[in-house]
Parts: sequence; C-alpha cells; structure tokens
Amino acid sequence: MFSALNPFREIFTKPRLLGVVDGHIKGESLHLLILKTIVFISLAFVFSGTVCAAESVHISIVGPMGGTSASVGMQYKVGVSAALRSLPGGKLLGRSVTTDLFDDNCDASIAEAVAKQIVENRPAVVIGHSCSGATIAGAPIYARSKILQISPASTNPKVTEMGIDTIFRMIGRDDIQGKIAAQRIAEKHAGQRVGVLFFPGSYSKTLSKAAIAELEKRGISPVALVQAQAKDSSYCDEIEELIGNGVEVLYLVGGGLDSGVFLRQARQMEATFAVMSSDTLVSRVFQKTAGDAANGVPFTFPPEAVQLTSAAEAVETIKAMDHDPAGYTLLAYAATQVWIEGVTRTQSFAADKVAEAIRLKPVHTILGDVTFDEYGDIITSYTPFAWYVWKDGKRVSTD
Amino acid sequence: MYGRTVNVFRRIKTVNTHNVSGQQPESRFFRLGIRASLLLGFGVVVCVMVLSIIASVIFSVRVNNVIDDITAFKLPTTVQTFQVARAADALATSGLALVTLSTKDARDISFDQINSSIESLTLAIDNLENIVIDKETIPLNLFAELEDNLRRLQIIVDKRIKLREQQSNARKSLLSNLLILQRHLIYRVRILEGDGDVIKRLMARAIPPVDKVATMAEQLIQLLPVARFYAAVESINGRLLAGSLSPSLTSLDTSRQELTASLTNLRETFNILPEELRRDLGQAVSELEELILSDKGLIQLRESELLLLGEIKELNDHNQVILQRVNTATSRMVSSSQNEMVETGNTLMLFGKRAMLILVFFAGLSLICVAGLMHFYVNRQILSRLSWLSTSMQDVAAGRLDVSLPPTGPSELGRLGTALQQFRDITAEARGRELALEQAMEALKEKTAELEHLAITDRLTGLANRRKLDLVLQSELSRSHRYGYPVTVILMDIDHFKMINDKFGHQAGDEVLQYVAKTIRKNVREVDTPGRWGGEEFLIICPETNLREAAHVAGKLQKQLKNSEASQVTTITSSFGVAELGANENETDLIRKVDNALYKAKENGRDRVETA
Repeated sequence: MFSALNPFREIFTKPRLLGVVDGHIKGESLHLLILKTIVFISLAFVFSGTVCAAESVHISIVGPMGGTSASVGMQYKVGVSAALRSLPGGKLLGRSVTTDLFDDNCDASIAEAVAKQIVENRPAVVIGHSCSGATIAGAPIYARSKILQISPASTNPKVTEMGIDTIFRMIGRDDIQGKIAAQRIAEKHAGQRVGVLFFPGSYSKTLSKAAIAELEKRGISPVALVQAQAKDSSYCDEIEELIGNGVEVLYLVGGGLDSGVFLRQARQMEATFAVMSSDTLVSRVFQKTAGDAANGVPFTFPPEAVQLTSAAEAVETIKAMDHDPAGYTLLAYAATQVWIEGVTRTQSFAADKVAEAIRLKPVHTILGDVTFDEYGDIITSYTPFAWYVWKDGKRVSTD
Repeated sequence: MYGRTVNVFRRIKTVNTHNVSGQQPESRFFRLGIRASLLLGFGVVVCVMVLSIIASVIFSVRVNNVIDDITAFKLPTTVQTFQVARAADALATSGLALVTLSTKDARDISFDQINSSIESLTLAIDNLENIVIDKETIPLNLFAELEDNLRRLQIIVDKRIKLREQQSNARKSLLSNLLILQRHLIYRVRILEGDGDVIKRLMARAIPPVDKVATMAEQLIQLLPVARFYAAVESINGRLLAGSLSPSLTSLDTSRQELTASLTNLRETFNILPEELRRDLGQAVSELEELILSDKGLIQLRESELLLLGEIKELNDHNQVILQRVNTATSRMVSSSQNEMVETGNTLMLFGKRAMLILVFFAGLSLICVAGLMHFYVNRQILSRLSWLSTSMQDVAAGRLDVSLPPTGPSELGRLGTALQQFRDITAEARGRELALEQAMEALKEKTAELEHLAITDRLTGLANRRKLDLVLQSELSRSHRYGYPVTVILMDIDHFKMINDKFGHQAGDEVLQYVAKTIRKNVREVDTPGRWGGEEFLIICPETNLREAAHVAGKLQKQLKNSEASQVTTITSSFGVAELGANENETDLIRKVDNALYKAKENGRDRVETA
C-alpha cells in the first residue's frame, strides 16, 4: 500500500524538479495533468476486465507460407478458420477471435525471429510451426512469454521433450514409427532374423533406436545393425553384410533417395530379406530411384484424417469454404478445437491453466476423443501411423 | 607627513627635558605610542596589499584582453577552419563508403550521410567566411569540386545498385535452375553409380548372371551421358560463381572464355542424353546459357559492375587528392592562427611570471614589514619594556630603590615609566622618615635601660645595690618556698675599713671597695647575686646552694681577698657570715641569722667565716 503511494508522494514533494524538466508547463498544471493521468491509468487497470472484454483475442498461425512447402501454412489457416466457425457467434468467453499469419520459411533461424515478433502481439495461442526445427526454435520463446503452443505437424520427439508444459502436438512422434515397425516385425515376421539399416542423421537414429527397443522388449534381438553413409554411391557392401548375416526381415530408416538406391541395389542383387520402412518413402524421388523395387515395400505414414468419420462434418465445412481438406488442414482444425476446449474448461486464456485443462481429460475433436500425455504428445483412438505401400505409382493402405 | 612627525617628536623632546635626571627619556621610536605605531604598521601592510591588488588587477585586465582576442577572433577562426576540414573529410569519407554499397537501404543511409555532410560543409564554409578577413585563403574551388565528385559518385552508385539487384536476381535464377537440373540428374547419377557397382559385384560372382547383367547394362548405357552432363553442369556453376565475382576485367575475360567452352561441351553432352531427359532439361539448359552469356547474364553484369567500380575508385582517388589539398590549405590557416595564439600565450606567460614575481615581492615585503614590526616594536620595545616596568615595580615595591628604571615619556609606556619614577621617589621618602623614627626609638630604649640599671646598681662598685638585693632576696625566698630548694646568703664585712679610710683617705677606701667587688664578681656563679649591703658590707645571694657550699665559696673569697694585692696600701681581711634559709623563715629572719653569724665571726677574731 505504501509503496503504491510513494510515486504520488514523490510527485507532490518534488514540484521544482518537474518544473525544471519542462519549463513551458507550470508546476501546478503539470501536477494536475500527472494526477489525472495516474488516476486514469489506475482506473484502467482496476476495470481492465470489463475494458478488455470488448477486445478480440488473437491466434497466431505460423508455418511456411511460401517456398517449397507453400501449402502447409495455408492449410493451417484454412483449418483454424474452419474450426473457429463452430464458435457460437464467433466468440470465445465473450471475446471475438482473430487470426494473424506468420511465415517461418521452414527455417529455424527465421522461426526464432518470427517467434520474437509473435510474442509482442500477445496472442492467446500459437498454432504452428510445421517443420520440427522451426518448432524447436520458437517453443522456448513462447514458453517464456507464457503463450500456449500447439503444433499440428511437428513430429521430432524433441519438440515435446524440452521441458515445456504449454506445448502440444496433434501428430504422432517420429519415434512411434519405430515402435509400430517393431510391432509389425514381431507380428508378421515372428521368428525371422531381423536386421536394421540406419544412417547417421538424428531422424534415422531415433526411429531405429525406438524399433530396437521395442523389439528387445518383445524378446527379439536384431542379428545385424548396419550403419550406412548417406550419399554413398553404392550400398552393395551393406547389402552383402545383411545377406551374410542371414537377415530375413530388414527395418530400413533413411532418406528417400538413399532408401531408393538401397532398395534398387538390393533387388538387383536378389536379396531375399523383406523390407519395411518409414514415412520418407512417401517422396517421389524414392519412387523414381527405386523404380520397380519401390513396389510392395510397406512403410509407415500418418493416416489421412479425411477418412475419419468423426471428421466428416469438418470436411464438408472446408469444402464449402472452397478449400481442399488435404494435408494438415484437419490437424490444424483439431488443434484449434483443443485450444477452444481448454479455454472453455478453465474459463481463462492463461496458458498454464489452459494446458492443465487440456491434459485433464479427453478432448472431443474431429480426430475423435484425443488425450495428451504429460509431455503434450497426442494419444488418439486410431493409430498415429498407418502402413502403406507403393503400387504402380500409387500409395495404398496395406491393412 | 614625515616633517610633521618630526615636529611632534621635537615637542615631546622639550617636554621630556623636565624629566627626572638619571632616567633615560624615550627614544623617538618609542614616542609613537602603541596605538599610533600599530596604526602605522597596519598602514604599511595595507599599502603593500593595495599595491599587490593593483598589480594583480593590471595583470588580470591584460590577461582578459588577450583571452578576449583569442576567444572572439582567433579561436573561432581556428575552430571553424577545423570544422571545414572535418566536414570536407567527412564528405570524402562518406564517398569511400559508396564503394561497398549493395542494398537500397544502405544506399539511402549513405546518401543521407553525403547530403548532410555537404550541408555541414556548406555551413562550415559560410561560418568561416563570416570570420576570416582574408577570404582568398579558403579553397572554395576545391570544395565545389569535391561536392561535384560526390554527386557523380551518387549517380554511379545508383547504377551499381541496380546492377547488384540484377545480379542477385540472376543468381536466384541460377540457383533455381541448378535445383531443377539437380532434381532431374542426381537420382539418375545415383542410379548409375549404384547399378554400376551392382554389375561389378554380379560379374565378380563365380557364375555371373550374364543375361541379367546385360539387361542392366543396356539400360545403364543410356544413362552414361548423364554423369558427364551433371559434371559439366556442376563445373559450369562453379566457374560461373567464381567468374561473377572476378576481381578484375582480365580475370573476367578468362572466365568468359572458359565458360563459353564449357557451355559448348554441355550442349554437346545434352544432345546425346536420352530423349526423355532432353525433354525434361531442355528449358533449364537454355536458361543456363542465357544466364551466362546474354547481356543480362552474370558475366556481363559483373563486367558492368567492375567498370563502375573503376569509376568509383577513380573518383574516390580524386577525392583523396582534393582532400589532401584541402587539408594542406586548412592546416596552413590553422597553423598560422595557432602560431599567433602560441605567441600570445607565451607573451602572456612571461607577463604572468613577472606579475607573479611582483606579487611575491610585495607579499614578501609586507611579511617582512609585519615581522619587523613584531620584532622591533612589539617584542623589543613594548613587551620588553613592559617586562622591565613590571620588574622595576616589583623591585621598588620590595624596597630596592636603586634599580634602573625604564625610560619615561609621553607614550603609554613612557607615562607608566614616569608613574614608576614617582612611586619610587615616594617610597624613598617614606623610607627615610621610617629610619629616623627607628633611631629615636633605639636611643630612648638605651636611656631607659641605663636608668633601669642605675636604679638597681651600686654606683661605686657596680654590684647590685641594697634595693636590688632586697628584690632578689624577696623573689629567691618565694621561689625557695615554692620549689623547696635551699637559698643561702653570705654577708661579708671588710675588717677595719674605717681605719683604711682614715689612714689612706676615701679615695683609697673606694678603690678597696671596688677591688673587693671585682673579686667577689670573679668568684661567684652567674646565678648568684652579689651586692653592696651598705658601707663596707657585701651580701651575696646564692640560690639553690646549701650552707656548706656557700661556706666554701665564702672561704674561697676570704682567702683570695687576704692574699691579694688588692690595695697598694695594705692587705685586707674580711669576715663572713653564712646563713641558709630555714623552714618557715622570712627575709628578716634570714638577714638576722646571717648578721648574727657575721657578728660571731667579728667576735671570734675577724678574718674568718662563721655559719649560722
């Protein structure tokens, strides 16, 4: 109470000083002016609840808005806008909701700069980023400013392992692919000799580690763990090593081009081991490189939410908006739903309270009832990664 | 002023001649008095101070004039000249920055800087023109030339920035061109490499799958030019990037020749690529040729840029030359006014030193004056005189009147001296009167003692007379009664004294009496009182003496008198009666007892001692 009074006292006890600072304003009128300002500001703070109620609440959407992944940012925007349509009167807790777009170019350093810009806007939530590197760069900045972040598309495990409580993602972690691959090996190739081929990158290592861990949990010990170098001109040595070890089923984790060369050579060398792989096989360069060898190799990839019955209504809405509900559109939609539910549950926009409310119990979304673990990773009723194969240039579900 | 003082002294001197002789009159210096001399001392000090202040005022006025000259004219000229030189320098320097400009923002900043530099140069020149009298010394033409050069530089820079933009766009195009080529080529190269290795491995087997290898090889042969083509593309890209950054026109020309050859090679290789690939890459290859060799190509752009850079450098070099000339001109201006200022400063310094010396001299002088006043007047004259006065006063008061007195005079201390003189005189007079009184008193005392002596003494013999004997006897008797010790009296009578008197005359009788008295006095103790009892009878009162002792004394006397040659005429004998005071006896009883004893001695034949 006294500390609050002190500035007043100082103003009243130092009239000369103020008079000197601005010679044109006479001491008394300046006092009056200051007093009025202070009273006004105090009132503004006291009634801030009612005053701010009229202001809108911001959602910042951030992702690659141009360049090679041009569509992702726009998919986010469509998804978020569609989700906001479900709000009664377009208002949340009596406040209208607006969206701002930011472009991170899928680049970590740009993302960091953009994040600093975003926090100045004081949004209630950030929907983004897309590329994991960008998400990892931006997340600590949002966390410091106590802003909730939900990424619809970042799969790097590190995103939710930075010790931030106010970050969530709508997509499965990369390393789950390893786990799912191990499950498939255990189920469909029981008793066979297992080999793993991986590359030095963190993606490859993370997935293969997760697979090996899951295999060992199931009592399966891979007979060959082979590390290949990316951009090698040939993987014949590695293939011969795998054949020499009598590998019957191989988990291949690498880039699209490298995996393509490997499979092509394996086929040419008449290797008999079955191969399964991860989402990198979805790339066109894999198909072109592997040629015929691309056909029939099962790989994991996030299932298209479009096919979920729970998403039917949302799909209709988006189509009505003259947009295609492809890619991450529906995940952005679901992300917005999660945030709205969190805010509604806690009746507050405070990031920590909303995050707590989101973790509290399952959230009903167009992806079905989803829950979030302590890290902020999503748990869905459907599998986060499904199995696909290439068949004559088309990606088809295997199971 | 001095003459008047002398007159005053003279008057004082005449007054002083009436002074008591033996005491020195005050010297002239003393006559000034404490107040007057203090005033004089302070006056001297004040005079010295005033002189000092006048000296410092003169000094500061002179300094002010010089500083005024420097601040009002010389310093502004120098400062303005510096300003002009600095502004010219800044302008030339801002020209240097133009060489490295590559973006529009940087251009705007630099141009703003140049414009403001030109403005400040103009302003500085205007200011200088207002001050400098000899306007010919200002190198105005140089400034104009400098400004003109800068304007030309700006135009060139604008051109260059445009070029840079074109370059940047061309580079972007090159990059995307390369990406397209890579997208189509890299995986094919990888296939080529991979398949090649597989063929090698298959052929190394014990039974090579010849048919399969043949099929693979057939497919692979079509891809062989791809590797060469990719290598050509990579090499062209590398050369192009290097060429577009060529530091000189010569090296740029070399790059151009190399690139032309490489492009010919690329085109040749392209023509043997599979049909499908030719279709995919045709546009990209044409674009690449365009990017390299056309008028809008990177090489041509670099050439234009190099030419512009050359111009910029030339202009900047010229600017440096101008700047040097400006610097020479301005430093000449600055150094001349600087020299003037240094000269003035030196003069001022010299003057300051002199003024300082004068001040020190006056200060020293006043210090010496004060010290002299303190020593010669206050210490030596006032304090020592005061001390002399007090000592003399104490001496006079103690009665030592013959001391030397401090000098008298009309000053405060002189008057004190006079007062002391009077005090001594009065004291001396009182002392004389006191002495006379004392002498009279002494005479009176002597007379009284004499009278007293006469009253109790026998005139002839000098022994106690009868009256004295009565008094002594009375007091001894009462003492004996009080303290209980014995008292004895001896009564003596000269035998046949009448006959001596008759025979030899009274003169002889008196002589005998005197002789006997003398003998008695010689033979009795101090405490005994001998006296003439009457006629030729002597009584000796012996206190604290018993009869036997007294008889012994009497016997001794009897023998002495008998054997002595006391009288030239005859021998004498004496008779003695001795009696001791008995208890409860009074004076009369004792005298009676001793009388009886004497009588008995007379009776028994004289010349003997008889006790009672």
